[in-house]
Amino acid sequence: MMNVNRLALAGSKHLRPSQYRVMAQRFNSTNAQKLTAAEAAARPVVKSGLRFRTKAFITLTLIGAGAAGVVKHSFDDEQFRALLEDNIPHYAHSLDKLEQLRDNEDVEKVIAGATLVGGKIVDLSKTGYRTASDLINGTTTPAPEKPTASVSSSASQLEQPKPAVAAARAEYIPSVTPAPAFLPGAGPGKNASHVEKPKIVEKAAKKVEEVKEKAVEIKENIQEKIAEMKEEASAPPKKLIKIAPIESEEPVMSSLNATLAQLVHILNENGIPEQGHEVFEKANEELKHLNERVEALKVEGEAQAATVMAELTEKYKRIVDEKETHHEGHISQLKRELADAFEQEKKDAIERELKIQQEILREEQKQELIKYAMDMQRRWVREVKVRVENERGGRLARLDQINLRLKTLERQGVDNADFLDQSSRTHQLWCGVKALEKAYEAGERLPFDRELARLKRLAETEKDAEVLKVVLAAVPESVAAQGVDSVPELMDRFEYVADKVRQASLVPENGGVLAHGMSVVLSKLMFKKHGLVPGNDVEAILARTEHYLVENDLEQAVRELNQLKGWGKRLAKDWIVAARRRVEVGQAIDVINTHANLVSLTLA
Amino acid sequence: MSATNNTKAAAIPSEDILSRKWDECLSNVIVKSGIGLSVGIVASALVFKKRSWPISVSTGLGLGYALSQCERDFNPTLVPVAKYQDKK
Repeated sequence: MMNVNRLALAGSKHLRPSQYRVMAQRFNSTNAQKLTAAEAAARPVVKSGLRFRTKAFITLTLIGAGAAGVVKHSFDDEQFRALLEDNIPHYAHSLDKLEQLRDNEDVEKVIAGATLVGGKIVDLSKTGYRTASDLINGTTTPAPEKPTASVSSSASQLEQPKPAVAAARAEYIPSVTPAPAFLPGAGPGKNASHVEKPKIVEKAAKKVEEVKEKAVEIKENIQEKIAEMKEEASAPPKKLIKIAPIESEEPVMSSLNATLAQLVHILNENGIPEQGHEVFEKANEELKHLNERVEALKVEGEAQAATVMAELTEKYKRIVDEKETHHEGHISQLKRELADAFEQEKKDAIERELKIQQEILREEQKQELIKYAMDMQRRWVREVKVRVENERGGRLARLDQINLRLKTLERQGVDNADFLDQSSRTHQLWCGVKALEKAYEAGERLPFDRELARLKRLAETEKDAEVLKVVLAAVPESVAAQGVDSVPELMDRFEYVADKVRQASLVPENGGVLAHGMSVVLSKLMFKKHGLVPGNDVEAILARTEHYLVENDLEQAVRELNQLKGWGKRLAKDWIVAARRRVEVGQAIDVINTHANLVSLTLA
Repeated sequence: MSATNNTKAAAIPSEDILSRKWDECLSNVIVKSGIGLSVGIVASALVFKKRSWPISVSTGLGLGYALSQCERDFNPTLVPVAKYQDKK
């Protein structure tokens, strides 16, 4: 029943066929559990999706992760950190604290300590587990081999090298000791007893004993000898040896004598046996004989030397005499030859001198003759002249006069030609200037490049035309080719420009579209000024410029308009350029005019 | 690009600069808002189920773009996202 009602209601709405089908299905079902609208509203709604706390948890996690990421990144990137510090309050402070925490060594120590503690705990837990499992299972498991703590291991490492060093040293010691065994006085007890070298030690011992025995023997011998000497000394009193001192000139002999005397003296003191006594006396006698023999020999030698010397002196005397005579003959011959040569030279010199003198005299003669000849000629010429002049009755003088007059005439003719030339050129210059002026003053823009070229050519040929040349060069080719605007043209253009300038006059600096638009609109509400108004605003400037234009004072007009600023200046730029060109050409024409005036004045 | 700029500058007498700028601005506005309008109509018809707001949005976008171009043209010193900083 109720379903039917609902269907009817549903039918009253405008449904599409698909919607209708759905509704029909729904309401025509026999499922008793279908809810009514009211019942559906009454039941509490189970929202789809997660619970609130799950959502909150997820959100907080994400926010935390985001914050951590931001903090981490701000540590790495300076720009990012600066940006955040600028915009987030207290951010800089918190970051500084975090940095301190990070750099803090205490924290590191704490972390290290914590890891240590953690390790210990792990070990403890392991042992606990082992003991527990043992207890449970009733077995014993050995403690696992594990690397000891760092301190104990290092201690063991330190101990190990020491015994090794001691062993090495013990081995080293015995090799040094056998060397001193061979020294005398070294007892066998000094040998460091060692099992390793028994043979060498035995040999050493034997040798030592032998040496000792020898020493004992020698000692006994010496003792015996001393006893003998003592006995001899206590013998009968000794005889002193007497020797006669030998006088001699030879130093050898005297030294021998002295030695002998010394020896005798020593022996006398010490005492010697009888034999020595005799021996010494014999020696003395023999020394005496020797001395005599030596003297004899000396005498013989002297005699021989004398004879030999005599012979040699005679021989040399003879040789010297011969040489003297020979040389004397030589010298006299040389003397004679030199004298002859000297005589010959004198004669030659005299002859030469004579010749030179003759030549000089001849030259002088010639010079004098020439002079005399020239003199004669001059006198002759003068005479002739005088005679001729006198004859002709001054006709030569008259010829000179005529020549002079001719020259004057020539000069005058040349000057005249120059003058004519100059005047024609000036005339041409005037014509050119006039043509240029005509082009300049025309009612519209006319090119004047031909006139300018003509003037340039004229300036080339003229002298003192520097100014002209400079002025003509100052006018650029493009201007000449295009021509300059005339004043009416400029005035027309100025009106247009002034209008535009007024439109742009209210634009502020760096104004955009809107500023320009406002300026255009508002400028139409402003009053226009005319005449010579004072002031620095746009209207005043424009009014003054207009005034000057009307009066044909272009220069002033240009100067005025140049005072504009900003957009006005930009807009008026081209007009100013055109006006300036006209003014410049006008000035050039003025200069040329003046120059032409000057030339024509100086002509006459 | 610079070559065309130079020749363009040489051809205009200086008093007509602003007039040219206005001309360009106007043409920009017409063209861009027209494009915006057409794009808006097409989008509204095809994508947005014949609602009215895409048209106005699009036209507005076009106008705004044209306006910004004009602004740049009249004020070349404008630099995007430029901040005025005090001299320290």
